[in-house]
Amino acid sequence: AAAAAPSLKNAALLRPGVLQATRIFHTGQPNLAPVPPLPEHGGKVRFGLLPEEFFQFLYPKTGVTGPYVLGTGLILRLLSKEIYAITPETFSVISTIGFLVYIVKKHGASVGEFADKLNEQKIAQLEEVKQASIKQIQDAIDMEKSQQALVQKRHYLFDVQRNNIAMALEVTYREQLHRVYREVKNRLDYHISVQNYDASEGTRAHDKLGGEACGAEHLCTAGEGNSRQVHCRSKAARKEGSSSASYVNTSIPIKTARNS
Amino acid sequence: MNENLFTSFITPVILGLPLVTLIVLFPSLLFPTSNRLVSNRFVTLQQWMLQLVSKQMMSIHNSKGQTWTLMLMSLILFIGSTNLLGLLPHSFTPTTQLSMNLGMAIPLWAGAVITGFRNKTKASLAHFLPQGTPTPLIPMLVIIETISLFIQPMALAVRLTANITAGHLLIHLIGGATLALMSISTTTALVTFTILILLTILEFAVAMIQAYVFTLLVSLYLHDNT
Repeated sequence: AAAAAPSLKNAALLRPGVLQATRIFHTGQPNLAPVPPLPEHGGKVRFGLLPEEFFQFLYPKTGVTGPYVLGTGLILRLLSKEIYAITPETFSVISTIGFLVYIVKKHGASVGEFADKLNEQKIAQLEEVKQASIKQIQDAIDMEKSQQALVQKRHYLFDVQRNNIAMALEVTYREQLHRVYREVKNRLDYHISVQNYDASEGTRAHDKLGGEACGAEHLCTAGEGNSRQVHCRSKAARKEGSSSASYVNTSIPIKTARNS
Repeated sequence: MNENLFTSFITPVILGLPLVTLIVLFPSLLFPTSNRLVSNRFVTLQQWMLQLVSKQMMSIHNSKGQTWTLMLMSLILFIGSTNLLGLLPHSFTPTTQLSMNLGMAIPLWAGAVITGFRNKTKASLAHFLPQGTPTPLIPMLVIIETISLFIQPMALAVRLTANITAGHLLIHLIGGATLALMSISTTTALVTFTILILLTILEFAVAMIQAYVFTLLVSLYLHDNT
């Protein structure tokens, strides 16, 4: 293809690039644009023929009636010297021109308004398209802004959700912690109560007769074990020491068990 | 003073130079082109009128026939404007000359017919025989249809010439009658003058109608043949 391309390029009479090169695009100011604006009203005339400036020109010398006298004189001279002869054509002139003047006087303004209306309709159509486009874009902008505003407010929702989740996590953590604490305390109290039972076995055998309250001790739950021991402190003072000692004793074996 | 009735129909020649060329070309000056979106009232009205006429006249044709739009629109504008300008006093109307009308009618008619023969041979030949004719009449009818086909350009040209010429002549004659009656009895002259005014109005209408008729018939021949 690369080999074929140069031969194709040179094949035609005019090489492909030449026509584009000779075409002139916007190299200078075209003489049609920009066109100056049209004047709004034409020059003023009297009788549809004679410009107003002619009357103004004659005014200083002959006053207001000057041009009219001139016109009358000219017409009468043309007629009397038969420079303009009255022919059958004269009557056709009168009828034709009279008809035309009548039509223009009667319908001229309305025709002008009709023409203006046509132009106005054309512009209004284009203006409508422009306004519709502007409105569409404006609506899009407003919608975009409102959506952006919504998005701005969304962080509140996320904060609330985040807080909720954090609270739930916290609650769960604390619940678990408490559970762990309770379980550990359960185990420890069990050991304590076991130790107390072992410690108090001798005393119970000693206080068997009068110690139903303390005898019911081994039935107490771990949590109430301490209180029962306190209750029975009067009976066995050693129990406190033993219980506290048992705390210490139980804590150490656990630690050693863990360490080992 | 005009010698006879027909001096207004002599082709204008000034110092041996044909002025008629300028007269025929003059109406084109009355239709200015404007590249603006909002033009003056004159151009706006012309554009509106042209749009109206072209829509009304070219809507019956198919796409092949609508290629003739420019031709038919310029035809109706030319005939209308020359006829209307001819109503002004002391003016020359080119369409009163049979030579010119033949020059317009024959090429247009021939173009339409030849297009029909080339592209739709069978259908355009079928125009020679109307539907539903009894069999014995067929040969005669074909001859009659052929004659009527070949008379079409003549009819177009002569119709336009005769109408416009007759109108101008009538205006001239009645004007002359008014002039003659002025010295005899003024009242009758006034009556005649009223007739003249009515005739003028008619002539304005005729000028425009004739243009329309000419173009309509050409477009009809075109419609038959595309």
